[in-house]
Amino acid sequence: MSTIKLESADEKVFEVERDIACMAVTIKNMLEDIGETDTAIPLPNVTSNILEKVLEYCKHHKEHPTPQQDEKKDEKRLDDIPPWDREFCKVDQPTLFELILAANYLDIKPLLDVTCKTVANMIRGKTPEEIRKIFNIKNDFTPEEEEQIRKENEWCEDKGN
Amino acid sequence: MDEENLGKLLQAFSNCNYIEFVKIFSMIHGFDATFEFLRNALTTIPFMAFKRKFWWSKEDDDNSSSSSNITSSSSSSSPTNHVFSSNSENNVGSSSSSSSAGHNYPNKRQAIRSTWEDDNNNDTWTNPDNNYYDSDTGYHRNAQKLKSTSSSSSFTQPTTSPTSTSSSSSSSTSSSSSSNDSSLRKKRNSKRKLKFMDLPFELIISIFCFLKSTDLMVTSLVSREWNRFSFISTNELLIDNRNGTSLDIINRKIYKHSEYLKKIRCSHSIYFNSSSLHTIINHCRQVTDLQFYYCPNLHDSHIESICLSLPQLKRIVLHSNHLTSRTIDSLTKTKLVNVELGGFANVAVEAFTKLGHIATLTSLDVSGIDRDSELIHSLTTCKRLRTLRLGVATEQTICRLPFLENLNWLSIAEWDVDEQHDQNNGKYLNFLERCKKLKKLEFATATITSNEQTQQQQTQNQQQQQIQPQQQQTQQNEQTNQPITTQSSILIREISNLTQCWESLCELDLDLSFDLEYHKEGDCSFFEMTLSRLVHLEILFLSSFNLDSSCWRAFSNLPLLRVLSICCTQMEGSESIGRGLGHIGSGCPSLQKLSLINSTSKWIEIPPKSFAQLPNCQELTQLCIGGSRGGGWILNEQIFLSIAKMSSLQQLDTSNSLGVNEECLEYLRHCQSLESLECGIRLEEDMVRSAIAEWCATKTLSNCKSLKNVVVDLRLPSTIYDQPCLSFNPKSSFQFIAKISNSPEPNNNNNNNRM
Repeated sequence: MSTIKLESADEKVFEVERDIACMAVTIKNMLEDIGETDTAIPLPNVTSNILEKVLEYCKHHKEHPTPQQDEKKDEKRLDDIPPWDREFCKVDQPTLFELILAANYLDIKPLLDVTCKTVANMIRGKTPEEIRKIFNIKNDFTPEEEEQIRKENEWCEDKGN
Repeated sequence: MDEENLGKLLQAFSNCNYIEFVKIFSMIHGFDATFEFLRNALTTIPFMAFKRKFWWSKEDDDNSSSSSNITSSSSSSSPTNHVFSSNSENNVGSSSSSSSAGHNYPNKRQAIRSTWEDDNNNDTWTNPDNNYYDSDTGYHRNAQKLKSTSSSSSFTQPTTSPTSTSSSSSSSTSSSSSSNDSSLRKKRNSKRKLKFMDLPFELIISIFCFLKSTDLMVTSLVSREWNRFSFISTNELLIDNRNGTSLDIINRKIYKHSEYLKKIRCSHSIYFNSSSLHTIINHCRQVTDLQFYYCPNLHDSHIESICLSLPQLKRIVLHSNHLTSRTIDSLTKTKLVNVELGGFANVAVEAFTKLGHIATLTSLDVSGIDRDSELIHSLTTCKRLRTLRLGVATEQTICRLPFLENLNWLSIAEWDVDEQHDQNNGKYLNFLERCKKLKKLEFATATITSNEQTQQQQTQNQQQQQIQPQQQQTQQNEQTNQPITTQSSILIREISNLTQCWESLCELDLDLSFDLEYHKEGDCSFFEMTLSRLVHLEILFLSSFNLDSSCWRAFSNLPLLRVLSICCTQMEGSESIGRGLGHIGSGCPSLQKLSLINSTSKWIEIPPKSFAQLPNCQELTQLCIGGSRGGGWILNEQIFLSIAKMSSLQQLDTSNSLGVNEECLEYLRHCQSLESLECGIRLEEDMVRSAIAEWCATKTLSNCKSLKNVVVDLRLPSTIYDQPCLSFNPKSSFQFIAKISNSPEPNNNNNNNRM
């Protein structure tokens, strides 16, 4: 099994199996462009601790491929995160956001989906005040603006969706 | 332009010089495509990102000389300022200062990178608490403050932070710049604590797109920025007849969200008319999915307009009895991929052959069309179909379909037995021999009706025709929306042909209504043999099944099964379910969702010893053990002891089960992942009856002939609201929902109604 080297933003080099690294479309494309190389591929937007997590994810899903659910891909489902992925995403907020950025940069769609769903799950079913607390967001509405939005929501209420 | 290409282009667009990009793009693709692309780009990339890229330094120049301080200092002070100067270089051509230190700057992509990275830099290096993106009021909410202080504040003073110092030194010698840059990056990376608002706009939107509209309404109240995210993420709209709805409101609703709407579902709306349709056609340029369920004001001409004016439409759902074959003609002029039809009572079966003219059609649902199995004959022209949902089908009619070999998903709502099956040695589902690519099969048997029942049915139909049309439509729709289940007698005893597609079959939904008499003969080995060969099954729904002890063995070898839902209509008793749980626990290690419904009138005890096997399914996240039709499971503390060992369990539903007490719930403290708990409290019937009788002053109300509504206020004990009940987890706050429902007991229905 051939391996390649990946260099994180903080200059740590990871040697990984080519197949695992190629789960990231960005890396796959790079390898297709440059061909065989012993030089470490620089990943300036991913730190070593995040790259380690990403590679852990790729390795697990290489060994345990998850079935594709293409038939219902447009459904807003949040309850279909596999248990291993759920555990994987149990990290602090900054790490979770770093993972989202890394998944986006490396173009690993399953990881991007699962991390985005994890954040969406943190929002789902909460009140505005709870959401502000969770994400440390300041309420910059005036009472009048807030009332106006509530009014608009009244006739936009789409409970059936 | 398809979404994938658009996505790639958008990505490229955000990474390069815009003007050059547009020039090259228009040369290659022409004006129309460029215009379309720019329109999409402008609606998906935050406006302020453009503003910043094009006008940032200009604004600075206009306001004060501080920006020049920023620029000049940027080349020698901090990485943050590198970013600013690079922006200037690429967009407005302040090249002299930037080019002189160009080799120290980040590369072009980093420099022009959209909002988020630049923000992160600011966040880390200068003002971590106050700098963040705000499209409503300006790029940085504290931009003014930042500018006003830039000349004298920490922003331009390299000595205020160690990072600035190192940056300064990095600019002095180009040879050391790369190592310094990397050390800076290290520090930046080690220090950076990302917040939600630091995420790029498109990623925030992709997170919001997972939220339902009810959640989006809540998020719209969080802050102005979140309000905007919520607005953009509202890509689905439901139009119905709720209170207060009017034509004006519907049109405003469509117009408000028109820029981002992708799916519009209009259900029974009496207000939706041609003006609403024009609003959709004129403003909803991204809509790809239109659904109309029995909208009385929808006519053939409207569908024709839709088909001509919305070429991007991929899916259409039409349930109506007003529409004629003209609608089918209109559909043939589209590039629809997915079509669902229902009603069409006035259209001749032959008209549906035209559906084959839709060259792009791969998914067709005609289960809502109430015709005999001859409708299938008209579908033989749809040769590119991959997904097909049918209403009625027989062995003989379905074999006529020439594209069975290509189908991935087949659904038959009502399987009827024709005379042919006896010629096939009594075997059923022979067509499956040809379905080698079938991944999903939904299958339900038809109801057998005797002559007497048929007559009754005819009488009912006649009565229904006298009902007002609107009510009739509602009833018809209710019928079409019903899940594929029938409460039938025996039709199929032999399902071994399912193994014909064992290699591809992943999802199976069966409602075969097994024959009790047949089971008494003691041979259901075919069921065990068939199911145990379907080793690729991931999802299995079994409705109206009579599973006896030997049948349960079928679950002892389904290694990939993730979802199992069984509704048992006949149970032999506690021993039988015990065996079943044992087999499931040992044979389905990948199980994530398990629903076991005792759909009999008996209360059956689950043996704790067998239940103890279930925690072997280590990935189990949802467990539903309950009853319907009067009966259910009897649980105890030992069962909950086993549940406590299910470390991944997120949802537990034990409503309609007996035996759940406080001690049982105590065990749930070990379920660290538990998010949702549903359980029932059963009130003594006598107590409720006497209370209501007292309140109603027995029989007095029967004299009030105009009385239509009687509301009974069942007040729950205040302790439920005061103490977040379950004392084992006082720190957590959760929503407590009291749901009041009647227990369906077939034998006591009359009594319930009287109450």
